Amino acid sequence: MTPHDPSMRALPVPGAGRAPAPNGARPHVSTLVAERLSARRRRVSVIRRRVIAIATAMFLATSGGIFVQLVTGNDPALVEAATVKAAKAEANAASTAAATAKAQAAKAAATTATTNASTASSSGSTSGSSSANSSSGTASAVTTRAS
Amino acid sequence: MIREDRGAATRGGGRATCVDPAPHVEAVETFSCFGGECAVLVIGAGPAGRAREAATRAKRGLLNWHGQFSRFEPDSELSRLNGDPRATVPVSPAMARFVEGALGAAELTNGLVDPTLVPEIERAGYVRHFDSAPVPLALALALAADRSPATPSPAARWREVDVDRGAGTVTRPPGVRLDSGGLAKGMFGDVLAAVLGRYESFAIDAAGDVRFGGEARLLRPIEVASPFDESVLHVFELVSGAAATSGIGKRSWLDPDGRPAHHLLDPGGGRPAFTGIVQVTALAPRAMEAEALSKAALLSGPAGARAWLSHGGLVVYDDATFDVIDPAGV
Repeated sequence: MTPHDPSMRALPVPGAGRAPAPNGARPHVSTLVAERLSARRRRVSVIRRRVIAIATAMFLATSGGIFVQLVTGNDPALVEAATVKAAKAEANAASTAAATAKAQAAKAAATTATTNASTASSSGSTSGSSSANSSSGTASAVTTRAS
Repeated sequence: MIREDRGAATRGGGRATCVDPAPHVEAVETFSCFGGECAVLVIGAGPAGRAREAATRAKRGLLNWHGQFSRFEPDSELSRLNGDPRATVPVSPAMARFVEGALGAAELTNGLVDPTLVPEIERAGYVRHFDSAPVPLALALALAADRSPATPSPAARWREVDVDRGAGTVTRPPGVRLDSGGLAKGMFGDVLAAVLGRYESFAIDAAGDVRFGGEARLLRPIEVASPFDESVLHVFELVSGAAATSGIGKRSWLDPDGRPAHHLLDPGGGRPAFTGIVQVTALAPRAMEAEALSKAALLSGPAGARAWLSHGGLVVYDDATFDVIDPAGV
């Protein structure tokens, strides 16, 4: 806050409202009240503007931080959700016979995959792709190549 | 080429990424190491933290091991072991495990995979990190002499090497040097699998040697790339195990006499092997075993390759045709 800050000028100076009139008479009461009210309005306006400015700055800073975190791929909610899902899936698999059957089905699907690959092997120089369905999903493909 | 695509996540490139092949979230780390591109893929949470943390730790481990086992780094543990004048040399647990595995690979392949061929590979011209463009495979094949299967070295220097993991020592005649080669990459995958195997799903791609698995038993598509044009020749879909690919297409050069050379040697002749096979992918329960089997199959030539691929695999011949071998048993 500088000496030239308008808000400072708006603040009442002790005794300023009581300055003797040029003719030496005390100012009228209504004039004093008006000056006081005007000064208070100015102070309220300044405070309101500051509150709005600070709130806006804090909102923009927080939003910017979250935005940067998300665009860099560090979404904590995604990781947390995946962990919870995995834990629930494991708990269900351990406690229900249905889940056990599902796991067996997945295992059977894996066996089917190897069988299909076996079938493909007989094709010799033709391109091939083993296939199978898995109730528990498929992980990302990985490529093996000579290095 | 037919390739089934069921929405599996694709790998990110160059930095850690997190992709969401719903319902599974997979943390992926891709990076350069072992003279190629490596990747670590993890789903779930386990003893090494969340998936991303585990992937980052695995990446760090691979990079550290690379520095420890490089033949081209004078300060690496392997270089210090090779240069040590003592017959018995104290080594780290990781080095002891590698030497034990390398000797096991030599035993398994009757000496076709020989970790003591350092003088021969240096004579062939492989004396530093290979960072130049390889000779086009078709040109190398055209310039190569007759095809013949490789044979074990009569000297069998690897039989003179001994390791005591309990004492943490390697014993060999001074001057007998070891090459980590692809066997070390396989071992790293096996070591990391001991931890990452407790996650929902994981895969470690150590520049072509892939180890994968996980408690959720998700199917993992393993694509085999062609040595001629990088196209996908075949996709194995497996739950766990390892796949290793050895080939003569990537690290190849012309020697001073204009002869094509590469890093897979015929131990018997001490020269780069041209057997009629340009690439073999071997499947096995563990990556180090897969690495040994793929090399042995390639060195054995078309007549003997299949005998090494009891767990399954894929063989690519000089004429770009290929055979897929049943992966049953992996």
